[in-house]
This record gives sequence, C-alpha cells and structure tokens, in this order.
Amino acid sequence: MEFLSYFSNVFTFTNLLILFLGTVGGLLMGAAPGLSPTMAVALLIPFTFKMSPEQGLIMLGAVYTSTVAGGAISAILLKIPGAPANIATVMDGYPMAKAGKPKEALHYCFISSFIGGVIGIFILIFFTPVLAGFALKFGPSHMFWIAIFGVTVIATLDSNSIIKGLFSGAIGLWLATIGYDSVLGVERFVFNPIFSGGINIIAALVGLFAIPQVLSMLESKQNISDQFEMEKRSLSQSVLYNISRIKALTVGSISGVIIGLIPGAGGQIAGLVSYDQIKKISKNKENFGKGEPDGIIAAESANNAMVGPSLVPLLTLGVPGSPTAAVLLGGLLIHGMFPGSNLFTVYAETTWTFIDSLLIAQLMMLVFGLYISGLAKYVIKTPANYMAAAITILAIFGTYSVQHNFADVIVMLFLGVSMFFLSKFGFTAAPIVLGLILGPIAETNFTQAKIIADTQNGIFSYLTSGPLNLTIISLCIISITYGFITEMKKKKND
Amino acid sequence: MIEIKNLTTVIITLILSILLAFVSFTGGASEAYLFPKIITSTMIILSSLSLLFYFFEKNQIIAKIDMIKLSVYLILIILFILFGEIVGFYFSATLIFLTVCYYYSENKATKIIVYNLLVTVFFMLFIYFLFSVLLKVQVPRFFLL
Repeated sequence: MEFLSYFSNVFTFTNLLILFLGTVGGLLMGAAPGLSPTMAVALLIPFTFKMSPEQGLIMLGAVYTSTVAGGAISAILLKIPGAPANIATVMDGYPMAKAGKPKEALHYCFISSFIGGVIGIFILIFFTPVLAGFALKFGPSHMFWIAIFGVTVIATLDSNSIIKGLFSGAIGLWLATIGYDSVLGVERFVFNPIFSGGINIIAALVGLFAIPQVLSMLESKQNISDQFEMEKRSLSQSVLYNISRIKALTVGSISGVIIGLIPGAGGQIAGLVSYDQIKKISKNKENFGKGEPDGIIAAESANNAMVGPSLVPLLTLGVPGSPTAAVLLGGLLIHGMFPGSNLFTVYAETTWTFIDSLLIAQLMMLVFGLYISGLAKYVIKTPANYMAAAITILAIFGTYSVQHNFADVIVMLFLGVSMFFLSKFGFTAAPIVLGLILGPIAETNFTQAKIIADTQNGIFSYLTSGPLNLTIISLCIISITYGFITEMKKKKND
Repeated sequence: MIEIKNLTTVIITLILSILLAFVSFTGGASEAYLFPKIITSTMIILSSLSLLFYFFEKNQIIAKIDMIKLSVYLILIILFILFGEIVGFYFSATLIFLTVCYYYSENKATKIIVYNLLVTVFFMLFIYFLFSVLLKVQVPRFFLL
C-alpha cells in the first residue's frame, strides 16, 4: 500500500493545476483529427523539461490518459478517430450519433474509459513486478502473429466482405513497406521523392478517415443529424446502463490490461480485440456496427485500461507497452530517471506520485469529458458545408504539424481521395490504417524471427511452434472463419 | 454520375495485386523484399478468390459517384497540392474554406456570403491560435499570411 502514502503530493495547488491543464488540453488535442496521444505527449516533453520531474510526469500522464479518451469525441461525432486507439469506437459510436444519440454515445465512452482506466492503473500499482515477467515471454514470432491477428480482426469486423477486408489489411501492410527497410537500409517502392520517408501514420490516419468523410458530406449535402431527432438523455440513465453492461466492461478491461502489457502492441489492438470478443459473445450480434452501446463500452474501456499496464514494462524494464509509452520514456530520461528498480527505491516519491496522479487524471477526464458530451449537439447540427471545410483545414494543418513536412499533407490528401473511391468499391479505411500501423511491427519481428530461425529448423517451424504461437494462430483462424460464416449467413438472409 | 459494378472492383484489385507483386519480385535485394513478396502474393490470392466468388454473384451496381458535385472540391485539393506551399497555408486555407462554404451552400444570398466571410475569419483565427501560437507550428507562409 505504498502508493497511498504519496497521494498527498498530488493535492498541491501546482500539481492539481498541471493535472487540470493536462486533462482538458489532452481531451481537446485528442478530439482534433491528427493530434494523437503519441504526438501530444511528444509535443509536451520539451515544455516539461523546465518543470520538476514530478510535475513533468504528472503533466505527461494526464495528457496520455485524456487524449486516448478525447480521440473518441471525433470518432463518435465525425467518424474520424482522433487516434488509432479509437478506430473500434467509430464502428458503433458514429452510427449512434447518426441515430440522434451522440450525447449517450459520449456518456458511454467517458464512463467506460474511466472504469477501464482505473482498473488499468490498479493493475499498474499492484501487479507491476509479477506482470513484468509475463511481458518478457513475448518473442519476435509472437509479436509477428499478434500484428497479423490485429489485421485479421479488423478485416473481419469493419467490412461487408471478408475478402475485401483482408485485401485492405494487406494494402496497409504493403504501404508500411514504402521507404527505407529498417533492417537492411534498402530503399523500397519510392516511386516519387515524397515517399522516401515512408508513409507517416498520422497523415494516413487523417487522410483515410477525414477526407472520404468530407467528400461523402459534400456529395450528399446532408448534415449528420439531418434525418434524425436528437435524443434527450440524462447522465444518471447513462451511468446506470453503463454499469449494467458488466460483460462488455469486463471484456474491454481484461483485453486492455493484457494487450497493454505486451510491448509495442498499443491501444488500437486493445480496442479492436475487445470489440471482436464482445461481438462474438453478445446476444445482439446483429446490432454491432449499427450503434450497439456494448461496442463503444468494450472498445473504450479497453483502450483506457491499456494505459496503466502499458507503463508496467516501461517502468520496470524500460520496454514501452505502447508507442505513447515509448515517447513517455523520453520524458523520464530527460529528468535523469532510468527505468528499473531505481524508480521504486531512489525515485520512489516521484514514481508513486506520478502513478497516483494518473488515478486523479482519470477522474478529471470523466468530469470534463461528460461536460463536453453536452456540447455534442452543436457539432452534429453544424451545416455540412461548414463542417467539410473545417475538417479539411484541420486535417491539413494537423498533418503538417506532425513533421513540418508538406509531403505528408500531399500523402494525406492523396490517400484520402483514393480512399473515397475505394470506399465506393466496398473497401474500408480501418484495415488499411491498422495494416499500416502494425506493418513495421510485423516486418521487424518477422525479420528477427528469420534471423533466429536460420540457426534452428527454419522460419516455418519457428513461427508455428510453441503454445503461445499456436494460440495466436488459432485466434487468427477463428477470426477469419467466424467472419466467413457471418458473411455467408448474412448473404443467405438477404 | 459514375456507376460502379462489382466486376470493376474485382478487375481493379487483381490488376493492382499483380502490379505490386511484379514490383516486389523484381525490386532487387531479395532479403529486403521478402516481406513485401509475402504480402503481395497474399493480395493475388485474395483478389483471385474474389474473382472466383464473382462468378457466383450477379454483376450488380454497388455504388454511384456524383463527380460533377465533387469536382470543385477535388480541383481545390489539386490546386492546394500544386501551389499550397508557394502561396502559404493561411492564404490557401482561407480560399478553400470560403469556396467550400459558398459553393456547397444551397442559399447564395448576400447575407449568407457575409455570414460565410465572418465564419471564415473566426475559424482561421482559431486555427492560427491553435497551431501558430499554442503549438508553435511554422507553416509555409506568403508575405504576412
């Protein structure tokens, strides 16, 4: 119970002010397309340099937790995930908003984010030493299969045709190979100099989700709320309903905790895996993708439950559990704090104050998030032409701000317009984005696996042996088979 | 209005897969292209499967695209790609915002034009505050804009 003795450190005026600014700023940054949690934390690191280590980490932790939740605001209201972690939230969040229930969808999002987030931080507090050992069991072959599993899950979930879904995932994996090969340094598929640095993930995320949405709005000239009545929903109704969805909350939180512990996996996989799992065990399978609250609850509790555990391997071994945790490592290092046992002995006060502040940040995220939910109707009722123009400008500036590179903006617009036409052919953006995100993880681990396998029985044997490999491969096969069966059933019914 | 049939989709995916596989298999250093080769081979298998499934389905129209309606937006995007860096982000973004608001509005009365101008000014001030003041992003500029 060491963590309790440092709680008083959080409740100083300066630390509470930093928490407040970090939480509100994080929610707004998360909601803006293009400003992901990783980028928000990276942008703030130089500002925290002049703060004390304790204050700097409190600021970064608050921004990390609230940007993950804030990303759901644009996912639900505009069908544009604010961050990769919110891709699964789009699937049921946007249909709910379209059906006149944006406030309700945002309530579920923040309440489940809070519950998942608190569970994740308690895991961080109580199980850090035990779980650090589990994270070490994941080798290159397992990470390769985890990445493939992530792509197969989204391909089966976010598409009417499983073949088109898998094909989209493959396009994403291929796009990730553009640029320099990270192991051999060979230039690949650089048809034009603007591609020499590869495809920036944020540029792709913004382009693939924002621009097709803009083009659809302009083509139909309809506001999101045009055909629907806006609902009146009280907070107490949402809280009671949310708490009653124990199954979705449990599935989301457990998936988030497990995936958060796996180095490099990140919130995008947590959200998708939990969405997939809850859809499979739900009695209302046919409602998923049409505005099923369980879809939002599972996805959002998972991506916030992932935050705490993703810091476990970071704080104990120096191995980040998510891309944002990797940037947070930079925040620790600039204050001279190196991951390992020293953090809980020499720097115990700073470390525990930081972990305690994450709990308070969750509470602040819930309060301010719910307040923002009340303003959702204004976004939804904005005329389509204003919304389309605003999204385009935000997408351009947001993408440029990532690397100060005009080529990223060109890539974003090119991918966006292409995605609009691809969507008309029946392809969806989510598998492409996830393929692009997981592509480097899959390829690096595949190359490492091949180097190890060359000294053993060959790559095939290395990738398919061991209980952990076989479990993940089975999950991939189950995911694809389930997708095929569902598609066949749907076609039969039609 | 352009109509899209599912045969078009199948043919495009097949051609795309073959092209990408060709580039991957003739790319050079075999170790660096191993992963792309696996992916593009998978793409060929998937597009061949969709061709196979096509024969069990009717050649139906799956979507329509209203190119005339979208042409103004697409032209604005092309102009931005060509001249955005030269004329500056704030100047070009203001023009894009104004044009989209005006062209895609059903009501083109003078009052609406003035309203559009006001919305554009406030929105661009918000963008300037967020990116240039708060986040210190140095975007390409033309004179003062």
